[in-house]
Order: sequence, then C-alpha cells, then structure tokens
Amino acid sequence: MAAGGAGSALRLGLAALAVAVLLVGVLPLLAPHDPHRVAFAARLLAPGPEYPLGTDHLGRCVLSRLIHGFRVTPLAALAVVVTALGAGTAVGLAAGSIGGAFDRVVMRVVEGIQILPGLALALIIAGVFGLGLWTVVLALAAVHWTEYARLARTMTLAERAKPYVLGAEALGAPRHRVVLRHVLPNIAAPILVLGTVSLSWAILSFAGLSFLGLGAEPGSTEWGLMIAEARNHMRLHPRLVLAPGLTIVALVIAVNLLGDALQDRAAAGSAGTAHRFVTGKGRTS
Amino acid sequence: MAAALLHRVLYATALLLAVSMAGFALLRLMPGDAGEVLLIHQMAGELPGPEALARFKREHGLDDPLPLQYLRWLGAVLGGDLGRSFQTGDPVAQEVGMRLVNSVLLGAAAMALACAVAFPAGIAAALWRGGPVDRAVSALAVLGMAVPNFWYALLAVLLFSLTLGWLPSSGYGTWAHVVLPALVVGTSLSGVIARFVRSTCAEELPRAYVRTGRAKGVGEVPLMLRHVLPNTMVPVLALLGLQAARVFDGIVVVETVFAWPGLGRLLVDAILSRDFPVIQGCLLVLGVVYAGLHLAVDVAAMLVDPRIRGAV
Amino acid sequence: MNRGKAAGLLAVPLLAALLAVAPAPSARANDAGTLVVATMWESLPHSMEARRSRFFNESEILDTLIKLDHSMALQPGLATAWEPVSPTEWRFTLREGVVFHDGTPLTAAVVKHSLERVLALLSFAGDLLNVAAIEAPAPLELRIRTTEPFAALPNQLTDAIAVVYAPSSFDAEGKFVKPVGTGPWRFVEYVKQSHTVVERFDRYWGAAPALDRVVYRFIPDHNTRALALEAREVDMAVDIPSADVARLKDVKGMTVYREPAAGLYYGAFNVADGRPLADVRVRRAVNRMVDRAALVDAALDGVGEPAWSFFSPRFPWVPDGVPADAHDPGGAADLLTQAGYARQGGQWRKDGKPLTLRILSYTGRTEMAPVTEALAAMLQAEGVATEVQMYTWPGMLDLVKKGDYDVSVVYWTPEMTGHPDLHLKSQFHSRAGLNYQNWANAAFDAAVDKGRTLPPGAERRATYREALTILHDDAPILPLVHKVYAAASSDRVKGFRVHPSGFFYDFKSVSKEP
Repeated sequence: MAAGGAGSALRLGLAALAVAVLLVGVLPLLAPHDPHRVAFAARLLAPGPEYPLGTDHLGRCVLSRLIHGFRVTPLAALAVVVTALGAGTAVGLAAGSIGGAFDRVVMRVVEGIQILPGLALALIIAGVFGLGLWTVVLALAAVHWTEYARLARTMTLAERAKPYVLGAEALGAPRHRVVLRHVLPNIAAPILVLGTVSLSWAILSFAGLSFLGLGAEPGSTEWGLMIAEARNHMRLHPRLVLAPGLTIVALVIAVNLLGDALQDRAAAGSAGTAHRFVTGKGRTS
Repeated sequence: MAAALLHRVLYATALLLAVSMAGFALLRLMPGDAGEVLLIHQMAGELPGPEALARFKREHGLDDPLPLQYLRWLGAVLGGDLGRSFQTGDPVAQEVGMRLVNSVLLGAAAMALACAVAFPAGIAAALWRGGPVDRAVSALAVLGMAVPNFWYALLAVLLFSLTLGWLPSSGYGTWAHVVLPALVVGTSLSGVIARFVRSTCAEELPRAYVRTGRAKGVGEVPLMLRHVLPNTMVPVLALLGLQAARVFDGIVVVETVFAWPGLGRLLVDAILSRDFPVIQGCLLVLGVVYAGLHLAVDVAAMLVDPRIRGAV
Repeated sequence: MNRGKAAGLLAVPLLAALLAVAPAPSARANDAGTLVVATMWESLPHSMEARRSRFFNESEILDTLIKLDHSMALQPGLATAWEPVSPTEWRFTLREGVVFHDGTPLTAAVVKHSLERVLALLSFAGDLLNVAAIEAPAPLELRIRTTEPFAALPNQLTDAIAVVYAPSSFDAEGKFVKPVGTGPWRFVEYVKQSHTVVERFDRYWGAAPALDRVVYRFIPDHNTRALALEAREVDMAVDIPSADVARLKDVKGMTVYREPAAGLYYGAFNVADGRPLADVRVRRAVNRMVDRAALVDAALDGVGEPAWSFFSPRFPWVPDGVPADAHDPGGAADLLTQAGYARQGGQWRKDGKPLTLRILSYTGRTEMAPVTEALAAMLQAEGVATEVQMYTWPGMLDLVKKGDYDVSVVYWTPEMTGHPDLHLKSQFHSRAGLNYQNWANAAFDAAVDKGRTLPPGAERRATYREALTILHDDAPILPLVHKVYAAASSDRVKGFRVHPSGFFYDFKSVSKEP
C-alpha cells in the first residue's frame, strides 16, 4: 500500500510549500529598497553596503529586484501548473473512470497536443489572443494540461484494477464515489511529483518568453526580462546578467531536487508507478 | 502490421485536419473583421471605404458560410498557397519553407550532438554505476534541465566567440555557424538522453540473458553494446521522438539570440509583428513536420521491435 | 529486419537533409579590399518599398539628382544645376557622361521614367514630391512641374525615395526587380536574412572608391552586432548600443564614431476622444514631467541630446523663437490638477481611476527599448501608471492604426532633407498618410501647406515658427532625444565620417589597411 510513501511525500511537499510561502510572501518584505524606484544618480553602482548586489542601468537595487522576482516568475509558473494540474487531472480522472468512446477521444486529443512542440503552440495561442502575462500563463497551461490528463488516466486505470477498488465497485459503490474516495488520494503523490517537473518547465518557459519580449511587461522584476534588459551593460557589469540567471538555475535545481525526493518517497510506497512518466521528461525554454 | 501502419497514418491525417482547422480559425479569430484586416494590409494601411470592403469580401468569398470558406482555404493550402505576409507581402509558403530548412538543420545538428555525447556517457554510466562518469551524467542532467538556454547562449557566445574566438557569434552561412546554437540546444538534451540511456540500460542488467552472457564469459562492454543496448532501442527511440518536439521549444529562443533564420525566429517575429498569415503558416508547417516525425518514430519502433510489429 | 537497417533507415534521411542544406562559405572580414559592415536592418535590395529604398541611397547603389554634403547643404548629384523657371516649375541640368551599371547612359528621359515609376509604385511619393508633370525637352534637361508653388522640391529630391533607377530596374510590366543605378557601388548578391554584397563600379562618374567590395551583414540583435565587431567577424558595426560606445573606446584596435545627426526619438500621442491624452493639459503636463537630460543619461549612457523641440536646434534652417518646455514637475502637477486629476498615494487619479498611459514601441531600433523603459519608469515615478508593450515596427503600427495606444515611442529623421517640410507634412498634417494620432489642427495645416511653397527667407522662417509653436502649444508629441549617431569599426578602417543626415554611409571615401 502507498500510504507510508505517499504520506511522507505529502509531508515533504507541505514543507516545500512552506518554504515557497516564505520566499514569495515574506522575503520581499525584507528587500532593502523599492524594486521599481529609479535613481538616475545611482546608476550601475558596484555592490556595497547600501546595495548588496549593486544597482542596474536605471539605478534600481538589483537585490530588491531579484527578491521581488520571486513574486513574478514562480507565481506565474505556479499559476500555469495549478491550472494545468486542475484541468488535466479532472480530464484524466474522467477519461479513466468513464472509459469507452469518451476515453478514446480524449486520449487522441491529448496525444495530438503532445506531439506538437508545446512552447511554440503556446506562443501561437498567446500571439493570437494578445500578449501579456496572463495570456501567456493560460497559453502555457493550455498546452501543458495533457501531461496531467495522461498521468491521471493511467493511474486511475491502475487503481481501479486493484482488488480493494474492484471490491468497492462490486459492493455497488457508485463509480464517481470510488474515484473520489479511493483513486484520488492514491494518485495525489505522483501528480505532485509531476507538478514539480512542470513547475521547473513553466519557470524556464516563462523566463524564456519574457526574455524574448513575449511575457512580462518591460520594467517588471521578471528574471528573464531582467537579463534581457541588462544585456546592454553585461560586458562591464556581468553581475546584472549573472545574478538573475543564477537565481533561475538555483530555483529550478531546488524544484527538481524536491521533485526527485518526492518521487523517491512516493515510489517507496507505490512501486514507482510515477517513475515512467516523470523521467525522460525534457526541458524547454 | 499493415493495419497498425494504416492506423498511425489515419491518426496523423486526423491530427493534421485538426491543426488545419485551428490554422483556419486563427485568421478568422483575429481581432476585427477578417476581410477588413486583409484589405487594409493590401492597401498599405489606408482604411477602405464600405463599398470597397463589401466588394473585397464578395470577391474573396468572405461572406460564404464558414465550412465552405474552410474547404476553399484548405484547397489553396494543399496547393501550396499559404497567403501573403502582412509585413513583407511575400508568399508565406516560400518564407516558411526556407526557414524550415534552417530549423531542421539546426535541430538535427543539436540532436546529433546530443546523441554523440549522451549515448557513450549513458552507457558508461550504466556500466560503472556510481562512478565518476555516472556522477557527471547526473550532474549534467540536473544542470541541463535547470539552465535557461537563452542565458546559456549569452554566456557561450562570450566564451566561444569573443574570448576564444573559435566560433562565429551569430548568423548563418557556414558549418561553423551551426555549432554554437546546436551546442546550446544540444547540451540540455544530452543530459536528459544520457540519464535515460543509463536508466533503461540499468533496468536490463538484472535480466536473465545478461546473466547468461556473463556466465558464458562475455565481457561487460561487448555485452552492453551487443545485447543490452539493442534491447533498449524502443524506449530510447520513443524518448528521442519526444525530445524532437522539445528541440523546437529550445530552438525558438536560441534562434533569436543567434540570429539564425529559422522557423522559431520567424514565429517570434511574426507574433511581435502581428503578422497573422505567417503565424498561420508556421502552425501548419509545425503540424505537418511533427505529425510526420511522430509517424516516422512509430514506424521505426515497429521495424526495430518485432514484438510491436504485430501489435499496436 | 535487424536493428542496423532500422538505424540506417533513420540516419539516411537525416544525413540527406543535412547535406542538402550544407551552407556555402561567406565573405570574411580579413580581406583588405572588402569592408564587412554589420547593420541593424536587413537591406532587402529586391524591394523598393519605403525603408528599403533608403538602403539604395545610403549605400550609394543609386544616386539622387541632388545630394546633401556634410553640412547638410545641397550639392550636385546627378543634376549639376537647378533653378525655378516659374513658381510651379523647376529646371534641372543633368550631369554629362554618366552611365548606369548596365552600361546605358543617363538621360532626362530615363530620369523622367524613373521618377514616374516611383510615383506609380510608392503611394506616399506623390505627397512628398508634389509632381504635376515631368518633361524631358533635351537629353540633359529635365523639367518638373509641381501642383502648387513648391520651393522645397530640391530638398525633397535628396530623399532616398527620389533615387534614379535605370529602366532595367523594372520588368516589362513596370514592377521593380533589382536596383540598377549610377552609384559607385553595384549590387551583386543578396542572401536573405544574411547579407547583401555590393562591388565597386569602375565607370562611376565621381572619384573611384578605394575598396573593392562592401558586405552589409544583417545582425538584428544589437548586442550581438557589437560583439561581432569585437570578435573581428565584421569590420564595422552601426547603430551599436550606447553602453558599447563608451566601452569600445577603451578596447584596443577599435575606433568609435559618435556624432549628432538628424533624428528624434519622440512619443506620439493618441489624442482621440476618450483617451487621457485627448486633454491638451495632460499632454503638456507629460511634456514637463520627463527630465530629458536624465533620460539621455539613464537610457542612452549620454549618447544623445535632450530634446525639447521637434527639430534639433543645431540645424541652421530651424527657425528661432519657438517656445520650448523644461523639466518642471511642479508645473506638470498644476496642469494635471487643472485637468481634474488629484494625486492620491503617489498616483494621479480622476474620478477614482488612475491616470494610465498605454505605451507602445518596437525593439528593432537599438535605442528604442531602453528609451521606452526609462520613459515609463520616469512617468511612474511622477505618479502616472503605464502599460508598456514592445513589438516590432509593423506589429506596433498595426495597433497604432487601430488607435489601441496612448503613446507610441517612435523615431524619425525630421531634419534629413535639410528642410522642415518632410516630416511636418507627412506626420502631423491632418490629411497626412502617417498621422495616426487623431490630431488635426487647421492653423498648423495651413502653415505647413504654405511653408513648402516659400523660398528661404524671413517669411518661410515666420511660417515654420508658427507651425512649430502650434506643435509645442497643442503638444501632440513628447520630444525625447535628438539622435547621436553611434558606430564603431576596427582601426584598420580609415576615412569613415558620420553623415549628419544619418542615412548615408559614404564608403567610397573609406579604405581598409591590410
């Protein structure tokens, strides 16, 4: 049974969530300066006691901007993941439990979207409906829900074949009750694992799109955009490009390691069903 | 096998039809009256009068029912007419075709580079699990999945073009121009592929035929290359097919940094230029390429694995 | 089937694809006879549409009848003399012995044909040139009759739009196919998205160029363009980022060029009803809010001149006595208060709604992103909310034409013909093709329509003073920065001078040391 593994995976997930809340909610309060305040007299200052990472080309505090960036990229990425996860899981659960023609049609659609290059598809969707942060978030979610649908469907089928679920169904429990009561709790852990993978994908995609000028609005503290805006000065002030880049790398590594740890704990219980779906998942942006 | 093949071809066709409908909808979903937008672009930005607009719509059949318009449009597309760019007035098909060739070149180079690194590394990691190669592969995979490639591209240009002077910083025209962008796209891929090769090989190792081979005194390396690796080809091929879709995602960003005139840069440029016919052309071409690629991977998997030949 | 065959099956098409597109080698920067220049725009020599024909003139594949020297004074080009015959007719005497790149001679009939093609093919040429009829009474005598008295014609003829094409530039149906001109450089090769090659034309009518060949390499990324120069992949890079101007000066083996030139970065206001900038008080307030000197420093590292007027005052023909604003946040606040806004929590509001400006610009020009970004930051600091979106030029123009903006940050070269008419007429006249600002002012229209008919003198000055005063008082624009042209080359490149029109490379006087 998965209880022990999944339970510990959930605890780890909750701990990670607490750290995230700290980073997003509390850390920006500790920023030494207003990240948007321009001070032309203080342009391109080297790091010092007043500005620990120096200032950028408009005299804004780089450290404060980096810290406030935790509220842009990760939150936008989280919005992508939550939307995709919610929609995809619902579709996958429905397909797995209803089965039949519905299942076949849904899975053909899922397969079709997964065949096409996701980032380009998202770009096209965002481009048609008008650029902007939220359009991009929805567009990324619109191509990404398929990962969850596929996973949730497979897990549902696997769970439904297990004796205790078969038993419950044999005892006449309605199918949706079985799904909600028995299947959903057991697929939570692998879905959570996939969530970390897609979180890092979404962070990189969103930063990449902002770097290209297709995501966050100019002036935002989005890290990819900060890199784009600092390019003119990167030769004399490499920290302006290195700092946001390293922040992205560190965050994504942290998220991926969290995902690995979650996966190990979940696998400890449920024999690595999630494994296949998570390894081999590529990166983008 | 013929039935399975037919099934895959039918699926690819259905996918393409769906993509074509999306592409058709794209120009019709565009903000504003489609006829008016098209006419404005033909008239170099001047606003057309109502009579001119009505005549234009009549002549171009824009008042007909949508399914009829779709079929007419599909006929034109199948005949190679993807319309004209708002921005340059050039035929979209011609532009997209040229860009596609460049992107395929870059994508293939990146894939080749990634495989050239990943297969030996993955096999070595599986052979000597826990050894330095294994640890390096893990580190590469972790980094490759975490480094934003636009950032990596900026740093790689500084190192290879400016400091070392080995490779041109941007543009296209010679083989040397392909290396740097292919390296940036390929590095991240190689980590993923190497890790996958390692884990699939490692999964094969406990099997009976491996034990038999060992008992017969076959060396570890020949055993791996001749017996284990071929058995991992199906999942590895499937992964490569999956990664081919991801390659384009990497290309979108990297082409822009390196001024590589491929489909990715064309798409980004078309979106920022609100050049809807070009966006539509990119979508259709990507659909054809990826549906075709997917079909090719499926067929290759059937050919490689006799067990799948009858199945699917 | 065995796995070897399967692998082969995959490998064969892959290899075939690779070989089929095997790229050809291109010109490198180390040949002493070849100058490789990295440019911001693609040259597009197979099109004569607006921005493209500019390349024919600036690269001197084609010549204009009249040219501008380095002090922006008129000088003979393909015409050696010109004079008004009557207020509505000009006579031009053409240069003797000029041949086109295809060997055909330059005659008045050819010039007539060329100008007529231009008028037929480019919709905005009529507005610019004001031509009623063109005649070629003698082989070297050209007469142009204008629809109204038109003193500005010689200056307008220096514009790239009026370059002289050989008949072989057009096909049988009169469509443009390739640039065949009389200039010192002959068009040789164009590779899409990569480069354009021109070679010395040995029968050029003027002094022969020292170089054999110029390669214009298209490198759209502004940082990469400068980097390509530093990595010695090109000999010269134009429109480099301002941060590199200061930096490259200290790099060994580099020459940096930095000269004031025609050109203005400005915010064009959408004054349509219902938009915040429909109110002239808000427009004037915004003009006083933005500290241009700080903007030049912050956005352009000082490579530019603070602009408080449409024309840079450094040009001698610009009328004096035109009022200009200064940085005056207090005055701006007064104007906004008069307009019904109140500042609450640092933010200007009216009826509870924050004063928000939707600012559009484009990334194709080196300085646009930093200028727009700094402008938005300054407005925010003054309590004006901004929504900024960067597109490409056509993308921005599409939204501007639809009126979906408040400020579009643009760049034009209003001084480049050495006459005030060009951009006042084409940008701000209520019937101008490029006026997407919904701004119409009858007195301004009348002054601009009159100014172009007047010969140089006190009356012309007074007329343009009036037009420019209206442009200031009614404030449909926010002048930001007067252009300082920035380029850099390897120090092997000798003899390059920045032309103040901003659109003339003059590589015929440039040489390259081995």
